[in-house]
Amino acid sequence: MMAAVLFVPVSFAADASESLQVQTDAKVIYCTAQLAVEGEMFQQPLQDGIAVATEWRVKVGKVREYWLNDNIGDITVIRRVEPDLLTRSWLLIDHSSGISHRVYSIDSAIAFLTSLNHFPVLDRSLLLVKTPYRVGVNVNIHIGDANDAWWSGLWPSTAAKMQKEFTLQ
Amino acid sequence: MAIHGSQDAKGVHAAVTRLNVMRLVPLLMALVLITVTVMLWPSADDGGGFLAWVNVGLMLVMTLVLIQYGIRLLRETIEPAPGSRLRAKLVIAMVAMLLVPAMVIQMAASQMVDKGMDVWFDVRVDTLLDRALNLAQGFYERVEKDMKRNLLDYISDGALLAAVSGNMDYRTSSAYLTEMSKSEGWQKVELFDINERQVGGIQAGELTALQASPLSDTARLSMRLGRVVTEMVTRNNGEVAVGYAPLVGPVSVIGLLRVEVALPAGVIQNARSVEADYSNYRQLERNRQTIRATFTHVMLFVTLIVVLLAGVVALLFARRLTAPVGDLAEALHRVTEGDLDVEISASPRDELGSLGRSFNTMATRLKQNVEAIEQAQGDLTRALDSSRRRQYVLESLLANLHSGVVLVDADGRVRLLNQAVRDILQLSEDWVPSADFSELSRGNMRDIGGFYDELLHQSEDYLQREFDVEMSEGKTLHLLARGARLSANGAAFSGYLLVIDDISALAEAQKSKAWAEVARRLAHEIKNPLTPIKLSAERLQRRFRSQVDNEQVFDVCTKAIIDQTERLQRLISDFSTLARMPQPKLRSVLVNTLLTDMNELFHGYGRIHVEIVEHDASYCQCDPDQVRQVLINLMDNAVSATAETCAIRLYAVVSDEFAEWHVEDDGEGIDENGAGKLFEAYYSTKSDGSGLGLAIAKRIAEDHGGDLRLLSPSKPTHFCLRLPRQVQEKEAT
Repeated sequence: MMAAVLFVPVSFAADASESLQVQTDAKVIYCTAQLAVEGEMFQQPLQDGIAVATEWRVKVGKVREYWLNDNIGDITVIRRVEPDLLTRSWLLIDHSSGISHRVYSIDSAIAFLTSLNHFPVLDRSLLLVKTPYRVGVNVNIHIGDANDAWWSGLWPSTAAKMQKEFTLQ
Repeated sequence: MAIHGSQDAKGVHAAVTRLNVMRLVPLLMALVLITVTVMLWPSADDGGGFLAWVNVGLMLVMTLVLIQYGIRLLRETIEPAPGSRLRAKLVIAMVAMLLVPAMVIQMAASQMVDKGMDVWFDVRVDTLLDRALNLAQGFYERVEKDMKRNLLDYISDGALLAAVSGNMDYRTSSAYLTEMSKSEGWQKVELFDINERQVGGIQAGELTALQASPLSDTARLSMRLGRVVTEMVTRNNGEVAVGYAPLVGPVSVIGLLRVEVALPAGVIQNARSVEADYSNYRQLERNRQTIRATFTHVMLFVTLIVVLLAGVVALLFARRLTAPVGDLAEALHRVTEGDLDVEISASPRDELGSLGRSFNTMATRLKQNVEAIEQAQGDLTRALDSSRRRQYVLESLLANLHSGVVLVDADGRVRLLNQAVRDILQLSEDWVPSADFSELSRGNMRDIGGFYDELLHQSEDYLQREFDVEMSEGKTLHLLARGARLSANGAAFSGYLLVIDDISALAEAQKSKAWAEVARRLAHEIKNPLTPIKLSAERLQRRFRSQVDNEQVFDVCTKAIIDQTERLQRLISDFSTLARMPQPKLRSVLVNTLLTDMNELFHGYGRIHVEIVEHDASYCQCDPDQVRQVLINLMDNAVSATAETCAIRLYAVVSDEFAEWHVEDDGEGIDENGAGKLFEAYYSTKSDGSGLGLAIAKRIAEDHGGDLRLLSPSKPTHFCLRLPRQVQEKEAT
């Protein structure tokens, strides 16, 4: 139980500087999100050799206030940075694609954790034109090994929430 | 007693106060618990997480349970279920007993955790780890610096440039690379032209791959920037330091030299261990507050669970313990309510079980005793009812008995005196028999007292006497008194029983019967010679009157014989009438008719006033001749007994049942002695009367079922003939 408790998700207050943008092309809906956090929040653990991960839950749904069945599609992206203190490098791992690469700049690692650039979310054919939709991004931050306690799923914490409405023309 | 009462009141007051304080215990515990809950309320940076909210929830649930129980206790006005208070006390005591050491253990554990944390995250450990990491990092830096310095010597190496340019054959270039590898200590040396095509290479040991691995981004960066670059690559067989040196020609970079050095496994393993330990340490240090909070909440959670489990176990244990007490209290309550069919179920073989079994035995015996008492009560009730019925029958019998009964106990106290005694002796309604019979022996009871004295002092057990009692109104009763001494042998009562009968009517009837017999005999023996005597006297008067010397004397004598003979004949006639009184021939007669007859018969007397009610059609069933005879007798007596100036009144009074004829006169009246004997035969105040008139009149009245009475002896002298208007068939016959 002690080990599990060590790696509970970290909660942060949402920041107004967070941004979420929706891009579309002929076939795909993309989103670009930026998580605004203090630099110390990621920098200090990374310099201490502690792995940091951000879990992005992107959800596309209809604009409904009082109905629960508004979901059309969702996708979860987990980005993780594992520091290497000996070589002073940081291994960036994208769990969604399985791609990883090493960088030697901590700013690159922090940018990797705090931004989601032009990320493909949904096939455009699933949406109707001239219908309002809402893209919501919930971000959870895990500092330490991402072995959450079994009860963390019962009461998930959210570090930041972003929402953006859009309409296909 | 007053002191004891005051002490009892103080004791009760103290018990009530203690009870009220006990009622507040759950609410006080709830207050303490809610205070602790507020103090431990989770915050965002608390680090307790989900467990903190679980603990808060548990404490709130416990608080609500305590508040609910406390409010129920405060609002409880009636007596709670038996054993519930004891059960609550046991649960509270057991939970408190467990709670106190649990809290102490928690506080001690928290202190130990704090101390432990201080030891774990000591500054010396921190410094040590920093230095260890610096050493490891220094090793890697040293390897990279050495590799970079060595590579700088080959950037403009002519042989390498020739090899990359294609101006050196493969054998020569390979030999050069081998020599270079040996001199620098590199395990692998590769040459790439500007197009990243490998133009040569050697490898110490066995060949690990047929094709050269493509250039990494770092290698390309090295060629692009024209700088020596190193990087650390982790492979299956260990970590390798890879260095890239651009080969710079006269104008630009024309190739790339890539060398590899395998790092020593032991050093690398130690360095990685240092790095892992450092990371873990920093991670633990970063979560220091969270660890402490987690430990506190885990301990609190365990404590709460233990308290809850202890409460449940205590409740079950207390319920099991107090169940026999509750059953016993309930059974006692039912016994108090009168339900004796109570039995406590099988109890454990301990003190409470023994108590329950003793209670069952007591209840069984109590039930048997109550049943016996109820049976005895029923028997007594039935006996009492029977006795009451017998008493009622006896009282009814005595009340309806015409014989007077007086029961006197051995002490001379009157135990019973029935209504007949009062009626016979005409005791007044307010006459109450006193306890001592000797005190009763006065007035009309005087002769009865004398009879009782005689019975009391005689040796025989039975005494019977007939005697006359002079009543206060001058009336004389002829009583038959019988007395018996009640023996105490066997019976519960000893004393004297006096039975008194008024035999005046019987004596009168016997006297009348005797007179009738005398009259019959006289009529038979005297009446026959009287006629020849009278005829002979008349004959003597006619034949020998002229022959006697003194006619006057002769006339007087013969007349006397004739008169007395006639008187004797009348007397005999009356006696004969009295002896052979015919049965009345009843028929309906107008009451006024008899008055009219009397008025016509006595109209010659001016002082006689007959009151006839006009248009009165009241009838009476009677023999008119006999009634007329009675009225004539009464009127004749009044005329003869009063002076010429005295008025005589005859009138009738008719009711639904009776017809009454009243005769009143204003004469001198009848003296007290004569009034008592007035209706006796052969009693007359007239010199020439036979004394049978009123006796015959009374006989006629009685034959009609009525009565002839003297209502007033004087002023006025008042007689009343009362006859029933409807004579019963039986009486008529």
